Amino acid sequence: MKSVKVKGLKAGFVLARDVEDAAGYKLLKEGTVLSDAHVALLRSWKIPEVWVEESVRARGEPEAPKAGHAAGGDEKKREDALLEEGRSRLRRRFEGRLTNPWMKALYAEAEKRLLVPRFWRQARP
Amino acid sequence: MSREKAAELIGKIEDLPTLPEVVIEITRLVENPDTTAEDIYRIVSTDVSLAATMLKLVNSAFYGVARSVTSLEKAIRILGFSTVRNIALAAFVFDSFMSGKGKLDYRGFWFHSIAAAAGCDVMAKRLRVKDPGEYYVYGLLHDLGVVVMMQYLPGELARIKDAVASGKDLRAAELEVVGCTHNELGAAAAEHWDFPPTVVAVMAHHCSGAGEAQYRREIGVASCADALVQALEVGSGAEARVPVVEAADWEAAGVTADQIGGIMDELLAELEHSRGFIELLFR
Repeated sequence: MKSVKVKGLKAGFVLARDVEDAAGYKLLKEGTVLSDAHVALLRSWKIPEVWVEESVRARGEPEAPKAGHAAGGDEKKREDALLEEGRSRLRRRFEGRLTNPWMKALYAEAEKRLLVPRFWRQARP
Repeated sequence: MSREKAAELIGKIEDLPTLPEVVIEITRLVENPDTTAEDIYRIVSTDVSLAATMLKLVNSAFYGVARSVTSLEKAIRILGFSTVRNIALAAFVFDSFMSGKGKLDYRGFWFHSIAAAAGCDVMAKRLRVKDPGEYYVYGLLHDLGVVVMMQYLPGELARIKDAVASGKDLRAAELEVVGCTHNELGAAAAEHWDFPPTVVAVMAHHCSGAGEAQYRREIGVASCADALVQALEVGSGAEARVPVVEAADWEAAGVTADQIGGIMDELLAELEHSRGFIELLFR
């Protein structure tokens, strides 16, 4: 088990302890194999570091990357992809709905908050 | 016309739960200005599970009480009468509609409802209404019709979801498949249980641009909260297109277009505090 800064975290790491927020609420469970989405969430939750297993489970990530290095650019890309996916989903869901100034503001403000903490988000299929 | 269809559907459900005596009594007491904490205590203490929920809630991080509260009477004082009533109503609907299949769907449904309740609370406080707790219930229960469909018309609901996924308007799909909308179904169920007329009006008219003039503000607030939560993709409903809330509803809720961002942030902050509440319900 080792502590890794979320900055240097990649998909494939396995959580060695539950991740909790400052108030002690469980956000992710021990044993979770982190996906790209998890990593993006941990970042949006402003979690500084997490405890992970020494070995990284497959998923095309054979070895633990050195924390904080190399991966930076890739993660930025992943986060951008996540945001872009969210944006296009929101565009679809607002199609034909921008019929008054409030609906336009609703759309614009929702778009600014695409990566808010997602405890409340239903797991998407 | 489809309102009659809704009443007919509700009438046909044989195992529709009945509102427990204790909930009826709490609602009656809370409406009476002469009610004391002792009166509420006497009723709540007759229902062990409700009493336990109140104690757990008051001791949860949601309320942030420093020392643990073990007396039910003290818990009621801390929570306040409206909240006690809210918990009783929510616990009834929740207990009645949490069993059975598709629990995960229910979780998404309740996330949506609790977030809408938080939105109602935020707007009600901005409007400085006398009792924001009232508005909290409107948010919590506005989609009662959906939960009735989940429980009693699962096949129809699946067909509605498919139609919506392929781009059909929700209202049109509901009318085609069930013969009435979830608004009408929820209102019919609420009438069946003798819920207050305002609650019935909110269920019947949220996000429809219609509704009785005397409930304009309540309907407006619930409609705006519903749209805010759907736009933020909290809970279920985040797959469908966002409902159009008409200018009249935003105005009735006292919301200007440039306040929407601020209200979203307040809503999200309040949701953080509601985590304790939802964890209790999913215990």
